[in-house]
Amino acid sequence: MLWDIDKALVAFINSYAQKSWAFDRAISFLINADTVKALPFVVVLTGYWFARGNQTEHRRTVLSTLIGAFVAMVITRAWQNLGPARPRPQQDPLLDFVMPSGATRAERLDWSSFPSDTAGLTMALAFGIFLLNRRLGVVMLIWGFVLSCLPRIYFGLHYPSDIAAGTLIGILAVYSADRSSLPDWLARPVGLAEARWPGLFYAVALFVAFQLSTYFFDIRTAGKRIANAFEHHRSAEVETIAVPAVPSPDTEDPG
Amino acid sequence: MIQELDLWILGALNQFATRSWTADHLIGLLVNADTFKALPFVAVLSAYWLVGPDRPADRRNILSTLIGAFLAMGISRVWQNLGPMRARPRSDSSIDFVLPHGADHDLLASWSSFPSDTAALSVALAAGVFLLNRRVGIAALVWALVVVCIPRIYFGLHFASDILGGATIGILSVWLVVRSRFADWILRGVNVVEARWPVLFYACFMILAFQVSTYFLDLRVTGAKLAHVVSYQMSEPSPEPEAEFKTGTLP
Repeated sequence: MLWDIDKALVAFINSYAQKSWAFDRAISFLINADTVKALPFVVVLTGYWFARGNQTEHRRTVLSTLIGAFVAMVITRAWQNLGPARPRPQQDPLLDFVMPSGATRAERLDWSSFPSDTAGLTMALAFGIFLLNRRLGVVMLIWGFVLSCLPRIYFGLHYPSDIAAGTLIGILAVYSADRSSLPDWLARPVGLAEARWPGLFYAVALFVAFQLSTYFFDIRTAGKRIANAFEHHRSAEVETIAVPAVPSPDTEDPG
Repeated sequence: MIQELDLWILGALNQFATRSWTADHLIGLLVNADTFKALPFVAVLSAYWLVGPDRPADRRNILSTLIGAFLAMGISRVWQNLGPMRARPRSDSSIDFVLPHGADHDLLASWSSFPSDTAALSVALAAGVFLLNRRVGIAALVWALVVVCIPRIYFGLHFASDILGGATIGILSVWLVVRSRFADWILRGVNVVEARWPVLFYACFMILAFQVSTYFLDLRVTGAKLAHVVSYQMSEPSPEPEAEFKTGTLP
């Protein structure tokens, strides 16, 4: 039954593909533009870190969000790699998926479609903001869903249920982190580091904020390249390793 | 003479190309990954800013650096587009260039090789770090040279003189702004905003830090796409979608 719903929803959304070149390219932009996908969440959390009133509470919530986001990333990634493989809509032979204008189907997408780790991370951050401020949180949850998750369905990278699962994991992870005592436990060394070595602290914080804002793109790319280097040295032929030097835009982040 | 020197340097690096698949890919990573190109400088500059509300001289220098970096990027871009066209080493048919493993498709053939705006931005930021602290600044300049610039020569994206040209633009721009009063003027407004609306201030701080660290990739892509859409609506559709983005290979 879930499959029927998934299939119907994807078919509905896919019916808009190829109708307008400009619209398709605009959605394609959203798939890749970190400025719109992830940065806004990181920006809001940064703002709250430096807010004057209620600083301890705010900072605690920011820490919970980061912990929850990290946990969500690990869970969704592990599930994708180790769980039952699910082909992405654009690759699924059971579906007649039409690629939007200007996009090419990826030759080979690693990892299962389920669950979506982009949704996991995005919605985790959005939920954290919800814990800080209800109204802003609702805005960010909608933002995350419309600008980060829907485009991925539109491009056949995920099924709606993958997105839903990722969202649930993200929200639950942050909620659990916030209810636990982990953030309090973490707050002390963090506060100490900030007080004692502020320069180093802020440099590292900015580095981490940047990585979050890019969904750790550079780290993941480096990981892929290293993994390929090992594979390359094990296999005799060079040409069998079909790794694009840089992932093509519409499949860059199969998460 | 410059061309000879350029070719000599190019050849010296190119002799290693395709010898090691792993090494080529690691260097390729440096060419594309924003994490290594501008982020380190932005992180250091941000740290100095956040540490010193009571160090106006530092803040003034950081602001000057930022403004100078924008200026340098602008100048290099304009020069690339409007100046005499120079083919990149790997696109130059008169040069026997061996493309290292893992090189991207050549998307940059339309841009002139001179000057390198990556070099301009990186060196401008590194110069700014130098203003704050001599030793860290030297490390920053070495990083800019070794990690940011040399890989680009290795991959045939630029000649050494393009890098030098970009670096000069970067240093001169920062120097000019530092010598002017521009930064003081802006600093006053900045301090007020930071004091009155810290949340907004640090949110914008983060946005700016991110944009500089990505060389404003998303904004540049948007601009290019908008231009593309406009021209598309006005004429026949182009056969191929425009250049790849999210690769950081835009110069």
